[in-house]
Amino acid sequence: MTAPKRWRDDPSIQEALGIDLDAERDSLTKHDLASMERAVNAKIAAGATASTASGLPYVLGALIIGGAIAVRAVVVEPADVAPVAETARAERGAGVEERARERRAEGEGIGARAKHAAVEDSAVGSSSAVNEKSAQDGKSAQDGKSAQDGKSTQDGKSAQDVSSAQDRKYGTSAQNRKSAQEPSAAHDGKSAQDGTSALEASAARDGKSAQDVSSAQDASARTANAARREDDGTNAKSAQGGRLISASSPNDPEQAAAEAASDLAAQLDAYDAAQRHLTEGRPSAAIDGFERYLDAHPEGRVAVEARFGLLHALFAAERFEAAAEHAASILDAGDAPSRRPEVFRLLGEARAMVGDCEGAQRALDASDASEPMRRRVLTRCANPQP
Amino acid sequence: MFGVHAPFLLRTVERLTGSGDRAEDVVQRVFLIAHEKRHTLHDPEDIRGWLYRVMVNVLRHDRRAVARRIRLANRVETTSVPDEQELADDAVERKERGARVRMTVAKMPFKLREVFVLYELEEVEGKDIAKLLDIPENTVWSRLRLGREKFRKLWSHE
Repeated sequence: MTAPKRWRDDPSIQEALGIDLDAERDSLTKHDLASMERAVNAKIAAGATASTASGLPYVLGALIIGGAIAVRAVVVEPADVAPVAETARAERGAGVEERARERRAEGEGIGARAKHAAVEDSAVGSSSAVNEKSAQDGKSAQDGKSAQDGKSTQDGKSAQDVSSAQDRKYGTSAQNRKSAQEPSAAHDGKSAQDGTSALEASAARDGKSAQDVSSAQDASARTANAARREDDGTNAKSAQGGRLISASSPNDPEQAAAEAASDLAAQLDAYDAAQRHLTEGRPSAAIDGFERYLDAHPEGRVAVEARFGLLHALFAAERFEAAAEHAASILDAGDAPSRRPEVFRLLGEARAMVGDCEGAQRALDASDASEPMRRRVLTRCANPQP
Repeated sequence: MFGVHAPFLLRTVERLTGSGDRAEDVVQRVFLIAHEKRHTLHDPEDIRGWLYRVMVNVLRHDRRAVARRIRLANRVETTSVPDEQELADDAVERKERGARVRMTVAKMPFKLREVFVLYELEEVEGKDIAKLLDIPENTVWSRLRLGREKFRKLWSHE
């Protein structure tokens, strides 16, 4: 069938009906596409951190996280990253599953990084091929064997060493480390005798944190610690749970993977919570959240994002001096070079707000601020409102 | 992606729903959903069709709101003349004529409406509409014929 002539191209029909399709076209609402796009991007960012972890920060975060996982797989854990994601699903349910899927979908995410980690594992003499196979098969005995054989120095590390290394890496406080190790002490004897703690293994399988299990075993001794961990937030809680598992069964790659997944999920939860405070208009709570995260994980997997989040939170809380200092520290650290203009803009605005007009001008010159905005900020600086 | 496809989506939503304000809301949601579901895009060359289908789903899942918006838009359109007093009379009249077309289109059954909008107003080719809506091209033409009849009826009852 041939296409019928369009009414728009047929004035006689338009005349007969008394319609004006050109007028219809001309009367369409004019939209500000640029501001719409900005709004969409902002909503993507906010929505991602608030619920589904699918926003732009997570795109960046996934890349950072993927890299961190790859490095960590070499430095700390014998396990591959693929089982990390798998165990995350088993342990943490839909939340982590979504994140894991999200990161895999990013292409440069976990899947690709996992391969990278496997290659690097091989490079350092770890039995990555065996790990990968055992991860796929759901077996762990071969990993344990490689550790026992001493073929890999990584595999052969004791759980305590691993835990300590993690503490150093993420800057966990001595108190937290202590509280993480306290419950494990209760198991150490049994674990040494049995080779592994059945209860903890069960906990890992069931998706329970080891902390929950240890609480069940020795509730009275755990109460104080649990309360302290609650104060420290979910992040610390899960991270400690991860170390607990590791401490009792150093050679089990599934548990090592569980530990990594728990730590990763905890970090993301902590970051999410802080970001949610920021996007929902609670900058003070956001500042607390970001600072707590950065204190616990100064080189954590979303530490760069958290530093930017803290900067925005300080700005939102109108703590301009602190914001200026923090912006300067970000610039000094060389975080996220592509975002330096944004940091310079915030630095300029912050300096303007505290009356440092020369500093503001220098910062704005290096920023992505538009000329009208630059003028407005500098004018406001020169003529501060009472 | 936004700059390329948003104008088409904005026009189409406004024409399907009769509301420009509604259009921004819907299109923003379309891009948010598209971002979340981007892994479901299997054919990057069909991104326009994919976004269109997302948009239609948004509209369908939000039918009550659409109906409310249409009613609201009806009221807004009929009371928006005072806001246009700065314009010349003919420009106002032209705008009203355009709005009247859109309001008539918005009352058509959805399946007929989308073909009518895409072909008559958006000037999308028949085969492209078929691909966009995932229907045979002949169905496009039959819906267009029915859509034109419906439009005439509604227009004459305006």
